[in-house]
Amino acid sequence: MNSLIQTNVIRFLGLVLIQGLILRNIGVGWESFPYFNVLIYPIFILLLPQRTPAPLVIFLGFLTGLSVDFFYNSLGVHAAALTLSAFVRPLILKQLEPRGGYNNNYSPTAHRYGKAWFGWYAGIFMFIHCFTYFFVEAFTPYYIVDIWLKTIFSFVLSYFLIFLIQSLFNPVE
Amino acid sequence: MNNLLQIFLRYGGFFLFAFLELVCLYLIVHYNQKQNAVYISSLNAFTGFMDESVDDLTTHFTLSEINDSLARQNAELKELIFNQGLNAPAKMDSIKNGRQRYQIIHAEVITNTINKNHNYLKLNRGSADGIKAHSAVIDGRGLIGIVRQVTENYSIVMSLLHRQTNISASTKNNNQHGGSLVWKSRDASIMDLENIPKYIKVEVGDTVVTTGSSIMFPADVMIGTVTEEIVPQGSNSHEIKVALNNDISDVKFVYVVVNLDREQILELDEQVDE
Repeated sequence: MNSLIQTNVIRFLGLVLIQGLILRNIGVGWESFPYFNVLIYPIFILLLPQRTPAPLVIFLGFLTGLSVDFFYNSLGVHAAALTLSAFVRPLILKQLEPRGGYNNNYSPTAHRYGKAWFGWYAGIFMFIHCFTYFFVEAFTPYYIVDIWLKTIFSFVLSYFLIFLIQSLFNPVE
Repeated sequence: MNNLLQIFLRYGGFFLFAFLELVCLYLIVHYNQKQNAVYISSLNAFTGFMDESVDDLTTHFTLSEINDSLARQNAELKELIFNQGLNAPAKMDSIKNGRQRYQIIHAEVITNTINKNHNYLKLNRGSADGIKAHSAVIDGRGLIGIVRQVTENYSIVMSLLHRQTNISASTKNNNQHGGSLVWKSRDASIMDLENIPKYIKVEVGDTVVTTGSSIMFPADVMIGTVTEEIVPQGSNSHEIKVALNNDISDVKFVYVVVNLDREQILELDEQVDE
């Protein structure tokens, strides 16, 4: 139990710091079309144990987003996006439930349910998150084409990186 | 009580989610300049739309009065045309070949206040219709104010009933001696005409018009009539109260007078200053 909390606290700090200090400075793009973001901090919400109460997941999503916002100097933008993603996490999990059902004591990792399963899970989650983030960032549906373009490019980059990290560490919890 | 607790346990996630999203919204709008600008402009578009909808409704109920005032205005204009035909036929050619100096744009008043120190009107037309800031606004019977801010489809007019109003005006037969028309009272129908030297004869009942020496207003636009006139002891100028010819509190349709020569005149002024 204690080691579980420890793991998640370390994961939280690590992800927020990497996102806020390193990935914030990586901007890919060209002049007329500003950078795409690489977002990896949603991994924290992605890998929370399944028995975590839904309100706690949502609150942690808010907290993580807000911490990242302090680095990005965009108070509330990441928080709004990750709060929504955390809210839809149980719905995604329900859609992807494997035939044998989940073991609620575990975290939803590739180690438990396989790489293909995790690919779908992280993919849907990240796509929703990226779209919400860029929508809130623009704050108006007026630039919807830009929002979609940014979403798609950032999604591909972030998804690739998240899958890489997952394969590299292959965490059990 | 138990039921309430159960409801909260079941839907607590949703409540928390909704609450946190509201917190985020507040943070975004208050701490991010870009999103704040979007928020403000959306809000303006929305309130502009609402104001206009409400106004559409109220206009409908006052249609007969508006009809009446339009008919009266028509009559006045006809009168003007007929009289001009009689008095100034020799000038017709030069008018035909002359340049257009003022562009007149008609607009509808959406909101209007008269009970503050600084009153403003909102019109349903803006830069898309050719309105520019600093244009004069008049109605069929007198002055209304000066355009302050223009967006694409709306404009804000500084009413005559504004403590900073200062318009060049004089009695009709002394056009060369312009005084300044200001609003000092709290009465929406009374204004003051200042700085008319006391050697000029002013009588109760005289007509007050614009002088045309300002960039904004054309000459000889009717303003009102003199109701009270005194020269205080030791003063060199008249203190004149002017009763406005129009009723600003009840104005529905106005004309915006855009001075097409404004840039040229300002440019000249600048060159002299240098």
